[in-house]
Amino acid sequence: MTGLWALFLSAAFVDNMPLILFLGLCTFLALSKRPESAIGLGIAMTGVLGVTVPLNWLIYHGLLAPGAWAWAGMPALDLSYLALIAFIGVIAATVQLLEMLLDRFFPAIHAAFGVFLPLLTVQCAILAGSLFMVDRAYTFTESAVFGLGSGLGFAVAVGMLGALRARLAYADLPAPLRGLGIAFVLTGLMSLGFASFAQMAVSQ
Amino acid sequence: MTEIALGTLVIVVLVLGLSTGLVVLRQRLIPAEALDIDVNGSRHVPAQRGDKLLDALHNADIPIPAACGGKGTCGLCRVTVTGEGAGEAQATERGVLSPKERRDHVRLACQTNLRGDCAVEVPEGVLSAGGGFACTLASTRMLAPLIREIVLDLPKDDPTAFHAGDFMQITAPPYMLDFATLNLPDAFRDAWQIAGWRDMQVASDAEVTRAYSLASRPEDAGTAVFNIRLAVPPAGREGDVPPGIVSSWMFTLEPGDTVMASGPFGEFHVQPTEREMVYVGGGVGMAPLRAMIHQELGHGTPRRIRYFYGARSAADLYYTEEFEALAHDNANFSWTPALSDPAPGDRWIGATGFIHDILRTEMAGHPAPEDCEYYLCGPPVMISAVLATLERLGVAPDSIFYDDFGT
Repeated sequence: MTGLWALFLSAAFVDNMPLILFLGLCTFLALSKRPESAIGLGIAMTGVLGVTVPLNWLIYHGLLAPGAWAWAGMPALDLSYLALIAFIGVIAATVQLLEMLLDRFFPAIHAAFGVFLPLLTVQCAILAGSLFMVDRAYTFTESAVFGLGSGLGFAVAVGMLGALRARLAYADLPAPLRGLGIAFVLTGLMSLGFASFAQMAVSQ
Repeated sequence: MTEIALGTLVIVVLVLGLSTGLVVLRQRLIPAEALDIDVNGSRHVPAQRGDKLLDALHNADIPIPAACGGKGTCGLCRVTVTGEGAGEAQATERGVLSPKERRDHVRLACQTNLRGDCAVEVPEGVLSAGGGFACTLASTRMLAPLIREIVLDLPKDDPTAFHAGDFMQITAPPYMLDFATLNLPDAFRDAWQIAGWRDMQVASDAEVTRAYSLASRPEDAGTAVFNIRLAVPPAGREGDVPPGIVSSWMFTLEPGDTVMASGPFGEFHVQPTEREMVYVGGGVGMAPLRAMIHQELGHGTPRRIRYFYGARSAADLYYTEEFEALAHDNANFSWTPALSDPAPGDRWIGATGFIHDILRTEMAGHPAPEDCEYYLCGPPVMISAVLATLERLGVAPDSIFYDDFGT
């Protein structure tokens, strides 16, 4: 149990997707202008990562991994080169499903996402979740925990940035820094702060 | 071999499975639902869930103007929508609608995806305009190399009143045109030859509607006067960007031809105040300003009127004698044409430069530029340059009225 908890914490903080690994920065910066849309993005990321990573685990280990077809008398078969395209397919379908659910039940969040929701399909952080899962040879449970953890880490980071940027609406910034400029500076500072979480990995 | 076959099979089955799952879920989650839209409390229009409001209204022959073709940029399709079915304003609308309009439930019909029943308020004139009416072309003449004046005879029984600054929508039928066959006056042949516009071709396989401002003077009652500028592609891109579909078609018209039009519509009107008026126009931005100036001077208005008009060279200036005569007859009217790029043969002795620079120089000597009203019409680049100039002069945005051709 402690192993899973450590994995969760490390996925959320030590290897935070946007701030430590710098993955998924496009949506991270674009949707953090207002806290509501930032939190919406965080929830969507948690949902998509939490679903796609274990789903891709099943597909990878059931169909693609070396030796997955041993039961059919083909132990040498290795389809793992198809992993990338299969993962993208699963992610695209999940995002579509999420879009329909939001459209049906949360039209306000759907409107706030606009074009960024379909763009989650090609969001690097989401694909990275599945690729890390293969690379680090997680078990099914671990992959679910890892997916939820990194999604939640993304949600925490983007929520914080959204809150900071909302407060900055009252700040008298120099004109060239307004908007994306100060967002990059904030991201850099937050990234430095998150770097200190690396201690957690060592001390656990 | 087995590996390739199995790999293909896995991917095909996976993709097919995911798509089938999504299609089934879509039917469950988003059922096709017939909706009912209440228009001005007097008409009911059917629609399907997920339709655009603009399309639903157009299908019911309610001609909401949409110069940009439903891209959410021109802002002409403003309607007031109440009810849950309209959802939240999209990000595209926030750029176009003012905070006050958004509080008043004003939406762009082209950006409103219907999710349920709703009630729509459209201007009464639009509702009674129906699908448009047939006009006969009375006369047509070239004013400048790319600008044509077109006069339509309106139907006699047409009751719609025209306010200076209004526009009408004109619908072009499917057609094909080779510009080499276009009939041009000799004066403009050289300009066309040099620019290579003779080599252009355009074809359209559907009805297309665009909005054009009226340039009618009070004495033009019963007719509609337009200044149509042929929308030519940017220089060097004649091959891949087609010329404007409706403007090209209007260049082919001859007297006696029938033109389908609807309107007039518009929000760009002279404000009923006593303040000085400054008009700034460029290109075919002439049209609504000409209508307004003639209307005001026709009333015998005591208000001071200045008109700044920018063109590239003397060939692009038109209606010059008309405005000189107006300035001669009316002590309260002055007109300043300016050329940004006079040709050597023009022998131009008037103002030279971009019209916003001329405006700044002239208004710098004015005791209170912020007390004037400003009416602008021209290409978007000119509008943004003039808006920046007016901001520097300290003019409040609510004294500035403009029409940027809805692009």
